[in-house]
Amino acid sequence: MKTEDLKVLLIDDEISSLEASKIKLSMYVSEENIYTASNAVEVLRAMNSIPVNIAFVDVEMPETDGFAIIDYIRQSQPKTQVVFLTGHVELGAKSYDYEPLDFLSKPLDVLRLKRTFEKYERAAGVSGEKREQLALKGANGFMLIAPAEIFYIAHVGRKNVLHMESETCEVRTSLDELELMLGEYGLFRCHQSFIVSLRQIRSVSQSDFGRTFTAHLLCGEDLPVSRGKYPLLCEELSRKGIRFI
Amino acid sequence: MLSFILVGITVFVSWILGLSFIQPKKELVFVNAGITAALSIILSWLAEQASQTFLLSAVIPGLFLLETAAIQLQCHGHFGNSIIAFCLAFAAFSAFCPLFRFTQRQKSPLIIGVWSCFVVSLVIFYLMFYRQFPGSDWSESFHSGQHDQSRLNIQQAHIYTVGAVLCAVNAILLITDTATIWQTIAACTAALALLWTGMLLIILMTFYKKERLTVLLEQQYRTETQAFMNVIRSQRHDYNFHVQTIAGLIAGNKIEECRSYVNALEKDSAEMNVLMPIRDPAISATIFSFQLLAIRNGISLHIDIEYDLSQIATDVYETNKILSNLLQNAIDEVSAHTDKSFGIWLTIIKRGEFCVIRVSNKVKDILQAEQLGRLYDQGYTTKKGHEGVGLSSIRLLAERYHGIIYTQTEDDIIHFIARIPINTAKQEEY
Repeated sequence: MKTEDLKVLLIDDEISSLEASKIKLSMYVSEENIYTASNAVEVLRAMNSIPVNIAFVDVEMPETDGFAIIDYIRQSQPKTQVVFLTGHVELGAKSYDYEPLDFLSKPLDVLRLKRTFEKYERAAGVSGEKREQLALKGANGFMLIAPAEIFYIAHVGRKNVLHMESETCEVRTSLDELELMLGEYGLFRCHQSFIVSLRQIRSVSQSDFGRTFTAHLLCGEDLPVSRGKYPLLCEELSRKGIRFI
Repeated sequence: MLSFILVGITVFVSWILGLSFIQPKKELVFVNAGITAALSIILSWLAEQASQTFLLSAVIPGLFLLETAAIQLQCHGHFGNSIIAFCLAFAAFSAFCPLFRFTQRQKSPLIIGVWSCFVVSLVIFYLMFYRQFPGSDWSESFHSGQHDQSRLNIQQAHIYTVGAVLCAVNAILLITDTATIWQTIAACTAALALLWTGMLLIILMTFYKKERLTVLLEQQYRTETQAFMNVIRSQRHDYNFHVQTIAGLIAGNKIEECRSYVNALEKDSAEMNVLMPIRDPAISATIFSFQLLAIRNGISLHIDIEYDLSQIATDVYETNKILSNLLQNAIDEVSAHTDKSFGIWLTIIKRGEFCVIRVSNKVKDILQAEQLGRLYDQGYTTKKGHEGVGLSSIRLLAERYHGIIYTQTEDDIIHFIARIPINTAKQEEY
């Protein structure tokens, strides 16, 4: 199984383990698409010349800080997924905050690596239509909702209304709970009484006085964005690869 | 004058009794009881001045409810605990109420008011115990004791007995007008002592049970950890042997044999590596024992750990409770299948301020929305031989820490996802 057009960057300062990892990676990625870098200069050069899909970074390099490299990768190509490589199985506490695609311990396990690429496909949405569904409490009984189909959720009166492409429905689950559940499906609590799908956001504008923000959705609706949530929203959107001008 | 002092003293004593079971801080107990007592004196004096006997009978119950609300605000504890304090204080106060016969000029309204409220408080008491204080620590010890420890079964009847005896003593004293003041005082004290010892007994038994449960858990963890450590120890022991073998193969220039040997080694160490990141060995041991259980059932348990769980808000036992309930359910479900190829997937990751524990497996019959929604209700189960307590107890646990557990389906794959907040105050203690 080889994935076409997948470009990976392998960053490791130890040449021997770099070579070993490259051999394992070549099981999944064609060899001319595996780029390697053993120091910061090579990373900069690679990041500026090729669109990298996945970067495999050894976080324990004595000369360069692996986390600084990850920060650089995130900045220059926000869509690049990062996989951590480590010789020690105990992970540093800092690494959790980077929310990488995967953690791998060296030497790489070929079977384990397969899962990493599956994860990538999932994250990139290559695997096509997702049929994930959640059971939410409705006005009468429960119903199955696919989070990917939700445009936005509004708290109106004492009810929460889900707005989807063709229909709207009412749920009894509280907005706080919905926020917790739906966070990982790309839905964002942009306001005290609104949750919005990040995929639906066309643009975010600032009012004349700069005190309020409004999100314009693809479906034509406008939703308010709280001032406190605005920086978080920007962060989430830039993680999705959307640039702010 | 004497009547007001009596009201003050009885209210004070009642609240001391009521709070002593739930309040760890002594000064808070005395301040609260003192303020309530002072207020009760002032209010009953005012009601007396206005000669509103109706008001007079409502003063004490109202004040008690107010104090309950104040306590709830002060301690931010579970609501059930405040209710317990209220019920205890009220029960204690009503134990004194026959005494008012000797001081109150217009005694009957007060007594009737107190009496009815006492009955109400008993009803609340009963209801709270019947529903077993959802969410509070007590409920867990009451609950889990029901099926695995028959020897120490706390009966709810104990509580009713205490209440009923108290009622009877009061009723006799109220009916028999002939009792002297000293007899009344003696009877009141006896009733109070009964209430006190009854409560103490219940609490002691609860603690004893809890302790026993902890001991049992500890024993189980010790054996699990031992098994885990044995594997690690044997790997360490083998290390010297492996080095010698590799050295020998290289010295003999047998590169091909060496390569296959190292490949086998790599695979071996990778299996153990998945569990190494977890900070607490008790948690690794639990997962490890489930891995063994899964292998015994012919199921492969795929483990993906990207977070060491060092800052998860739940304590080790609670984390293990979540993991073991979810994994046990998954193993029970998959064991019943003929096609076990998908296996079980356990993922532990950190996302923002939350730790996400996800267990996924295939289900034989796709669950309907109604079933999915009811999974977390107590007593609801889709499996034979299950009691339907596992998921509901995880839900209570998650809610207590302001986390959540929910289900996601993807065709015939079911995911159980627990999002537990991270407690940043939990520093690296190791």
